[in-house]
Amino acid sequence: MNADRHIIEKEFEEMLYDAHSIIFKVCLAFTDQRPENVEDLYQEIACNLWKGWQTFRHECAVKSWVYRVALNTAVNGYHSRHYSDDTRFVPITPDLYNNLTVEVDNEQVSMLYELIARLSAKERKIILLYLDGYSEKEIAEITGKSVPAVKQAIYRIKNKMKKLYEKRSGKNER
Amino acid sequence: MKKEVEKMKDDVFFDEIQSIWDSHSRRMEDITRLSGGDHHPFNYSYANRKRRRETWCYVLLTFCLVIAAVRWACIMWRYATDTTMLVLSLLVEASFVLMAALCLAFIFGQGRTPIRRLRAELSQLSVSQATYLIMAVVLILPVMSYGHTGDGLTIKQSHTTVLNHTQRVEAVHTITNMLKQ
Repeated sequence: MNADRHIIEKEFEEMLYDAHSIIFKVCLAFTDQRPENVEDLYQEIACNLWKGWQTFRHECAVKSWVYRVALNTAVNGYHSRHYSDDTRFVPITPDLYNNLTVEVDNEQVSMLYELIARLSAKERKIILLYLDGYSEKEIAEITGKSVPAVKQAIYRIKNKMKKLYEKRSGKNER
Repeated sequence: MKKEVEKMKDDVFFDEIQSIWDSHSRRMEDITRLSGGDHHPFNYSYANRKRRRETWCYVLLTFCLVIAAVRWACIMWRYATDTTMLVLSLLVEASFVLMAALCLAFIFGQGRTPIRRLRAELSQLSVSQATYLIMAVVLILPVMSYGHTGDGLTIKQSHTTVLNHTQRVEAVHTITNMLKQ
């Protein structure tokens, strides 16, 4: 029994480290990118992944499942809390924090997240998946929408982002 | 012609966005791969405790729903004044409880259901939103379906026969006998 549990935990940890970048991208897109808020959402997503891992039947790709759980957790909101060692599920090293901060400070990346932040939660879900190379059919499966609805949404979001970018550039020029 | 130029402009803009995202994704992979090397122990006891707490939350929610449904059944029982209405109110209450149970299964259930799209939509609700939704279904709909006369909760009696206590007891006996047969 203990050995089984140990195997499940080990598999979960490996899966989580593989999916780290997906989870952090979702966290950055759904928060104000402040480290404490990113960590709040990260821990919540990790807890939900652990909750679902034991019943996950590998009927879809692991990354799609991670995306689905992460996006649903992010959209549903999360409880802001100050984590101590007792309530932190996944340890996060200071190095990781520092590197993430440097990455988010990149001018182009911050501009991109600024545009994403102006979209609605539903639009953010779709655009994250689209940018990460998921097909319209896969996006429809993950978000629970129909393929034509996803196509329509992508077209609308692209236009919206372009307008937001032009507005932002206009402001900066002035 | 103008439309084509606009489309090309759109494509160029989004290609640029895509290339920024791709390079950001690659850097994120590198950052997280580097940090994945030093494995610290995960706090499973906390995560399991959190999971158990949520399970209890759902159990309590179900309990509340059942209590709400029973309470409504009692109200219906008190105000139901003929056998048809009595049976109807009980059936309605049973269907609401069933509906609440189905909602719970859809929202919180782990297993796959045939109506996956509906479940995907419902699972986007937070626990509190789902609670309100189910409470609304269980508590408000019976009132709407039977009407509210302003002097407390009463069933519209315009076309029903008013029964006294003895007649009501007889009606219950009749239903019980019918069910036994």
